[in-house]
Amino acid sequence: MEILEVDNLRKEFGTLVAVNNISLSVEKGQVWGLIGPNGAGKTTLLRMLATVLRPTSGSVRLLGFDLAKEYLKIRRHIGYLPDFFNLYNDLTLRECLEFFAKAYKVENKLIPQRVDEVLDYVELQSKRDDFIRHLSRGMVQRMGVGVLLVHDPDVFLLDEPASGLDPKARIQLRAVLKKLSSEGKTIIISSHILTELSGFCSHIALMNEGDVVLHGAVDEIQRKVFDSRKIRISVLDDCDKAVQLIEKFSNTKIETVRDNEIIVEISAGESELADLNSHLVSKGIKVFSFGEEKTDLEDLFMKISDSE
Amino acid sequence: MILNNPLIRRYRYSLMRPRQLWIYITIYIAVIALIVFINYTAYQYQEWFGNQIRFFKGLYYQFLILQVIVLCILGMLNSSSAIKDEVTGKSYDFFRMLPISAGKKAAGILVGKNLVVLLLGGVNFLLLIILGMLGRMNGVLLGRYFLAVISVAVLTNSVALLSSINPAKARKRNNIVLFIVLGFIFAPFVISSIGIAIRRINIFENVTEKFYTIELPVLILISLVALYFSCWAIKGILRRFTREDEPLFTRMGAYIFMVGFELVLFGLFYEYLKDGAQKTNYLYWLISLLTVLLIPIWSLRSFDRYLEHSGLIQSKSAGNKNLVSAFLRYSNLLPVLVLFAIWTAGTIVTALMTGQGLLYNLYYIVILFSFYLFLMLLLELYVVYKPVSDKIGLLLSFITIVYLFLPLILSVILDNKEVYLYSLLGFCARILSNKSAPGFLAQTGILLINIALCTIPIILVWKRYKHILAARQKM
Repeated sequence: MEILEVDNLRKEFGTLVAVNNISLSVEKGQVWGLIGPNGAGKTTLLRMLATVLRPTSGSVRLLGFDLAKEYLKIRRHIGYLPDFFNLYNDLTLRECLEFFAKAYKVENKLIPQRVDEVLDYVELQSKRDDFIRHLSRGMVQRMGVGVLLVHDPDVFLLDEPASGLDPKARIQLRAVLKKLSSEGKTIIISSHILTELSGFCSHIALMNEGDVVLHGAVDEIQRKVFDSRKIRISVLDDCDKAVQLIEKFSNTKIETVRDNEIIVEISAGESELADLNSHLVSKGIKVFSFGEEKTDLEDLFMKISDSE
Repeated sequence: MILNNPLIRRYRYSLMRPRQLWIYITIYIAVIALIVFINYTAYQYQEWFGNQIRFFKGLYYQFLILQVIVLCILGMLNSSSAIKDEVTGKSYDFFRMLPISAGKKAAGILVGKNLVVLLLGGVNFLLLIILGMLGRMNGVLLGRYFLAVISVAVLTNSVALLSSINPAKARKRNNIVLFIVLGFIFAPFVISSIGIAIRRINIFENVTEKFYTIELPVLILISLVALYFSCWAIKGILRRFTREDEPLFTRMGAYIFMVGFELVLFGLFYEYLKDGAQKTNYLYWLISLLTVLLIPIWSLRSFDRYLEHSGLIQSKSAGNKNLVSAFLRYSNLLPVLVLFAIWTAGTIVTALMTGQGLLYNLYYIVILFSFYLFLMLLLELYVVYKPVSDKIGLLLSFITIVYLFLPLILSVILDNKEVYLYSLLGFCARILSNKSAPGFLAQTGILLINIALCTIPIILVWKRYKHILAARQKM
């Protein structure tokens, strides 16, 4: 089910074209990573989708609503976390969540329960009656996600959510985001720190100078960008024999061999991979692990950037 | 219903905490106790009031002033800080994203941010009723006072909020400039009302003023005028909350505001104009001229908007000629001309009403137009050159100051009785003064100088317009 449809979206600031006629479509449950260097147009794109920035031209339909005309309806269904934000320092966490729940028309009787659920989700239950001004940056960032969760949006728009966080806070935030993606939420998240997005993005859009250079499912793009796949094969013993057998197999190239673990680059489809596996087993090699090595987004980004 | 507003809940959380509320209440009690103590001492030992009724009446007026301070001044400060707090607190994006209507946002701030003020104001109103009754004051008069205070409070608070909704500037400075500007607009109403009030305080019940031919109690008139402009301010707030990056006024909005302002001002001046007073006629002219100078600032289209629009018209336009004329129609210069035309229509009506020679007045109008045009061209220069230089505003402000004040200074230095007329301020002062009108030659000199001065910004603005159209084609 298509949840977001962007058609020729453009934003100009004077003579600068920040977003240049972008077209995208996002389906329910997809997690999109907007990748690109600083100034690529990621924030501008997200701010337009979040209805806080008026596009110069183009159209956006989010959940069937027209962004230009029905922005109030859209706001009820999205959760936007800006890149630089703070919450109301003069409120406690509970008060802040109650305020947002009320603003987003959560039923009055459901508000206390929702506040509890959100505080548990972002692991800030113990701080519920503390003032926001007393939270660390990482906690504020998690609380920011909590504020979005309070009205259970259909689409999350997260702009560099982990920027400025220490490694521990980053890991904690990442855990929250992973949880969201595993629950089938539709998320569009921007970052220039690629490890932040690795592992839970189903799709990526690579942006540069206002353009979407490449977009699609991560697997699909991997296949497009990398001619071959990386296969990690672990054997119990007789590693050298296994290497010899693999080398004889067509379209293969051994990348590394270490501690009975062989990384092979292979330009082949699924059936050839299955053939290789059964070939090794039939020749008496005890294979206990055989799987495709997922390419890190960082590798992907670098590869795309190089080809650009 | 209004208390169901989430923003009011948010402010209730932060402002009504007992530990800070008691501080406000303590200060308030201390202030009223001090007022009562001073008055009672004066009544008891100095016999200032004569009798008890006058004592309570005296207290009533002092509490009324306190009420104005609480509702108008403290309220105004609160209302003007709401958006600034959001911007500096980095929560403004969350505020903007709230899926509540602009009206609810405005009501949420105006009521929520002023919860303490309203609480104190409510208590004060009760005290005013009691003091009014003890002072045997007319119930109708008390009602009029309440209406006047409430309507002026609505006006000051809504104008304060409106002027603060400019997140780009919220970090940099307060909105003093806008307050000064608005002060200028409303000053005639306020000052004349206060003047009448001071002169006739003992017989305030009977003070009336005419609005056109309708005779109204002056307090009702003040309330109605304040409520009229409050409606405009609230309309502006709603526009700012929905279309933040657009000018405060649409073209049509600017024209309607101008016509409305003229009609209100005309209604207030009607009785005096009918008497044929020449000075009243010119006073009317100059007050409305001030509005014509200000409205273009509030409906100013930016350089970015010019670029955007020229892209749009280029995609539609067939020839270059159409393109230029479409661009000129979109530019800030068109409303400048239309607004001046509206002003001129009003001035012709008043000139005819006062029975002054139309031709004689037309020459004044032409000269005032030349002053006006030069100032508006400077404003347009600011719009088109701002992307080129950040400091253009400083340079143009300097030129404006020189333009307005140098002739006044030269007139003193050279001991010349005519040079000051080359300043708009000097010219206005002259036509308002009891002196004879400036001679034809002097007026023609002013006109020629202004035409000469206008040619430079016209050339520069034209060059930039052409640059915009060319830049757009390259994008």
